[in-house]
Amino acid sequence: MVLMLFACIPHLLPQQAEVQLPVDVAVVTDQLDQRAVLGAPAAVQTVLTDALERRNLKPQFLAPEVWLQPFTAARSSGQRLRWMFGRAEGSDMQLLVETSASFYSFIGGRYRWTVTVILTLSSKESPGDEQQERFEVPIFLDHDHEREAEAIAEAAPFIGQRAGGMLDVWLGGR
Amino acid sequence: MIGPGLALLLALTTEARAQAQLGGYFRVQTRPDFAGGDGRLGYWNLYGRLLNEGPYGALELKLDLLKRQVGAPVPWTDLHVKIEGGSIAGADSGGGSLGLFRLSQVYAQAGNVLIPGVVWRVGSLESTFGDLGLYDMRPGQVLLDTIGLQATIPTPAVDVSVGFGDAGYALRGSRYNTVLTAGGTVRVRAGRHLEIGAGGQGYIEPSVEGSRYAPYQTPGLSYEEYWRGEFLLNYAEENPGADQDAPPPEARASQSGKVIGYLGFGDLGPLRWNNLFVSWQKLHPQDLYSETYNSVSADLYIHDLTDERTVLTVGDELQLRLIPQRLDLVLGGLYGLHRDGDNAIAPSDDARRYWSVIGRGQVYLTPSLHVLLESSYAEEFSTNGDRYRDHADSIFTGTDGVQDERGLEYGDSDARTTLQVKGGFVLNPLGPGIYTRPSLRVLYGGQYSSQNNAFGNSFVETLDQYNTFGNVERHWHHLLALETEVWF
Repeated sequence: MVLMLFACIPHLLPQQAEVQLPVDVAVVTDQLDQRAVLGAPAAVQTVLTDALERRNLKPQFLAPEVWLQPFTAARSSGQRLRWMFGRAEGSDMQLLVETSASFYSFIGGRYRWTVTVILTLSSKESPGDEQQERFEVPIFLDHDHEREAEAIAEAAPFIGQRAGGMLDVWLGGR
Repeated sequence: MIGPGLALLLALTTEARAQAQLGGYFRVQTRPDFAGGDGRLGYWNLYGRLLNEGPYGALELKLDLLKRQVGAPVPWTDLHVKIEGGSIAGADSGGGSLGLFRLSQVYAQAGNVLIPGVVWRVGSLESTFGDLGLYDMRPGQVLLDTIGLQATIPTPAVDVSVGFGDAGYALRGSRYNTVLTAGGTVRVRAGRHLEIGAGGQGYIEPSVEGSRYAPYQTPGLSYEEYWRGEFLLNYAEENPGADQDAPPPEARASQSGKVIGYLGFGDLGPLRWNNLFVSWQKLHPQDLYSETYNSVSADLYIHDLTDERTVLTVGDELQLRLIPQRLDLVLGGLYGLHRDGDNAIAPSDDARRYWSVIGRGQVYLTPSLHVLLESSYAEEFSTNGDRYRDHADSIFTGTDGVQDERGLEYGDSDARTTLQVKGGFVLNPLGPGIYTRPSLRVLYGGQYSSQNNAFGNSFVETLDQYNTFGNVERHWHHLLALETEVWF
């Protein structure tokens, strides 16, 4: 009986693109105090793949060696997005994920980090009308040797969830 | 107590609030105890923190005064304010009183100032190699008692941190006397799999002519007189008609220190990480105690009676991922040796040794529903004679079962053996991981101890004929717990 009641709980399904759309995705790690940028941990790519495919979108991840140099030079999200659109082989839709991690404090025996994420979504249909979301995720790591990469990997589920929500808004408004 | 922190929060401008972040830690539980206990399974964390700790809360505000930038080594600065304490309304006898909380840390940090890459810290200092999570202990920690200046140079291969300041208020409280201290840590990282660290801290408390709070020793005071509180009695008998109730104290200078070591290795197959900590500490000498005889009270100074106390601690924690996303195991071990070169007569916390082992396994039935099982075994030995009461009538016995009303022993055994078993269900909304939080737990805990009633309780121990409550012989202790723990 209880299980039947659980079945009545409404499940919110993600929005779906009518036809499968390719999306160029770049996932960047910006470093505090340093100009050079890095690729993000694989866990972030995994959750983004899931978030996009569940919405009938086809992720095309840009390899770090493609954007390392231009993204090191271009510091703002707008500059980086323009570079992505400027590529000859670029898709109509672009998703830029910029991450960074900073150590907060040693609290209660755990290392607290703050992961800052900027999600920017744009399409050729409406240039200059990009959606952007900036948020911070508190992360607790067990050991001192776990640093920025581990903190960003721990934040991956939150990044996937927020990216999914942003895609739903974008698809719902098309 | 909490006033300064709140005042700071209220004083922040709107713009500053936008730069503020709040982190912290809370645990709260109810543990109905039908055995007359206070809701904790055993006496202390030697048997594992789980079910042996009470409620606790910590809030740490971080205010970015000049935010650290990505992409450029520009100056930055932030302010940290930490408030913590161990009482939550309804969960303990403190009733959640804010008086049980304290402003435990306030410090400002600045980076890329003067020397690029160096983080300067002024205020409450701290340098640590990490945590024994199963025990909630940090043997590899220095400078936590210091207000001063600290410089840290973090690099991918080596972290160096040095600091100095004053630990007088932390060690002496309202009887403040300057205690100069300096210390630091070095941690070397050899790839992803190995870390080695070492560090230490030294304290010097100089003699200050004329200060009542400086280190002194009352001449002629023996350890036994100090322990029994009978110096004034003996002094009065030996010096009838003396001008003073106690002889004038002689000035001393105090020194103490701590040396720590750390070895970490892991990220190898199922071995996630292993932390090994070693700590040797020479405790800082105490200042005084008070005696009253014939309605006259006097402060008696005890530097020489408390300057040979040392503590050796060795702790290890091994984290294993046996079946990814299905089964994790954490093993821990702790050894402690407390020596007191001044005390050869009475059992005490400073004359003992102990060891324990703990294992905690967590099975992930689903990503968020887990089964937890933990067990610990511990042995504690008093090196200065009997200290534990194994039976309800132990008050009548001492060494070899002989009653000695003037004896310094307590109880009928010099050893305590403790076995604990804990288990139950855990709800972790954020997924698998023994230390993933928040955790909502429903647990059972059982303890067997060789000591009678080895848990915080309200029993009457006297065998007096007017004890209307009677005495209880109990070596097993059981608890049910509903609790939650969260870092944020």
